[in-house]
Amino acid sequence: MTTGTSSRADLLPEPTELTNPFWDGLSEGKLRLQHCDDCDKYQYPAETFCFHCGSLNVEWKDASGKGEVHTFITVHQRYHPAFADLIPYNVSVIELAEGPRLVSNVESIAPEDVRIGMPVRIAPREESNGQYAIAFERDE
Amino acid sequence: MWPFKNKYCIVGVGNTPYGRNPELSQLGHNVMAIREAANDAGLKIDEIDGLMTKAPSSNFPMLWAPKVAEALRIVPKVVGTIDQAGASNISLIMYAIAAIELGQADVVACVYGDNPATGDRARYARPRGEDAYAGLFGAPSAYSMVARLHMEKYGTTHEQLGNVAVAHRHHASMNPNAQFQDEITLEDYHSSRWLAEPFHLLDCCPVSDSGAAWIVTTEARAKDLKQKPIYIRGLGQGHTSWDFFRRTDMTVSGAKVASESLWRTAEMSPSDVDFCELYDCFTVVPLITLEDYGFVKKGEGGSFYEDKRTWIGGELPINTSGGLLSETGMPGPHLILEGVRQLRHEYVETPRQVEGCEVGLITQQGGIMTTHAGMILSNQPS
Repeated sequence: MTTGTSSRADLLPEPTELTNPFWDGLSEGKLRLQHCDDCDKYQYPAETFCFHCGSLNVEWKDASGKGEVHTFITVHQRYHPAFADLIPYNVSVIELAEGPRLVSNVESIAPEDVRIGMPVRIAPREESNGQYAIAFERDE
Repeated sequence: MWPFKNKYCIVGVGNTPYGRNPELSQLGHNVMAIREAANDAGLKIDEIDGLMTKAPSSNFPMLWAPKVAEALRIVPKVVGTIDQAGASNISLIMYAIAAIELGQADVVACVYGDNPATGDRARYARPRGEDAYAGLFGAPSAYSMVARLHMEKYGTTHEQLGNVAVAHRHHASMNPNAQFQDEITLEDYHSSRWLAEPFHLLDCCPVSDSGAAWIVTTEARAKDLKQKPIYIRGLGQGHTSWDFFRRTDMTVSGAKVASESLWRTAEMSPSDVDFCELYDCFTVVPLITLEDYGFVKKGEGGSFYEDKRTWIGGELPINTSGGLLSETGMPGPHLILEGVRQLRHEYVETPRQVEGCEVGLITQQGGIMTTHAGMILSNQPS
């Protein structure tokens, strides 16, 4: 390894008071999402208000952790030193069962085997700094 | 009837050399492009009383238009920046028309210039927020997500994407100002290395130093100037706005909404268009643009580029100077310049001219198909 190469952990967002329940949930193997008590919708990422209806009554709930691949790419280009050893790797848009979509990775599978529509579930990954990060694997 | 019918024109265009240009600063690209455009129009620089800018992408500054005005040593009555990324270039024209209509200015210069290739390209390289942890960096990766979905949903093939790269490069091969002038084949396309699959290198535009300016005024004012006026016959804008992965249908662009305004204001339909200059940061975008403007049904864009239909001499020439893919990677204004030059018949008696053309569709867009604006230009009043 070359010196000065940043680690992937350096790219993780720092937990904040707002988002702590999300990061704590991942360390327990759970996906937590904000849920609006007024309009009953889930949202991601976290905010201080409901994106859908503007309510301030948003609370964290345990979500199913399940979703499906909406679209994906396989990255071959070295865009960032932290990913140099991972090339080629999958990046997917995951649509969670509760509705929200996010960008993450489908792991434990060859990137060429990922398919649009593939069912996935969360598989949180412990990073080098002890923080758990979101990732997915195929849901058999 | 559109109240601005036949009233507004582009009367001058100018650009700086495209590609890697360490001799010009970022500000220099803006200044030199405007000076070129003013000369082209037969205007003295201090006759410009409105200055509208798209600010440089690479290090987006505040109060950019005043800075450019100062660098020209002029004091325009109207200054401003519109931020829609690439779509701004046509929205600057909308604001110019509004400013003139409101009696605030008479001659408005619009400009974009930047030097990310030899200057500071911080923004182009910057990780996209939380997506950085997932390894999603840069526009090629995000647009590739869109392309994958378009291929899955509609059966669009790599060959169809490759036809776009080959066609636009063919036009660039006739253009001495283009960054890439060597013709390519489909074999070259297929064997170009993967960046973010499904995108090859040749699906993607370069990062370039460039500046371009275009000057807007009334038809009445144009009569005193050097060039045949090019009429702004129709305008539209539409924006998907949301981050690309949150959109209900990632394969639809802002052109779908812009289309209604564009054809209505122009009182035209796709069959009236003689050529197109379509924003082509990536090969999939022109295909989606053709669908969303109604040239073909949704999903059928893939076959449009077959049989050299879009080559000069074919049924509907597209990106006649090479576009973002091959002329230069700057975010779009060179398409406006090319549209004006084609309609002036500047290339007449060369293979570059779309013979007898009278109407052109120009499109601009930005972000990850986040914003969009379209324009109909014509060398004829209606």
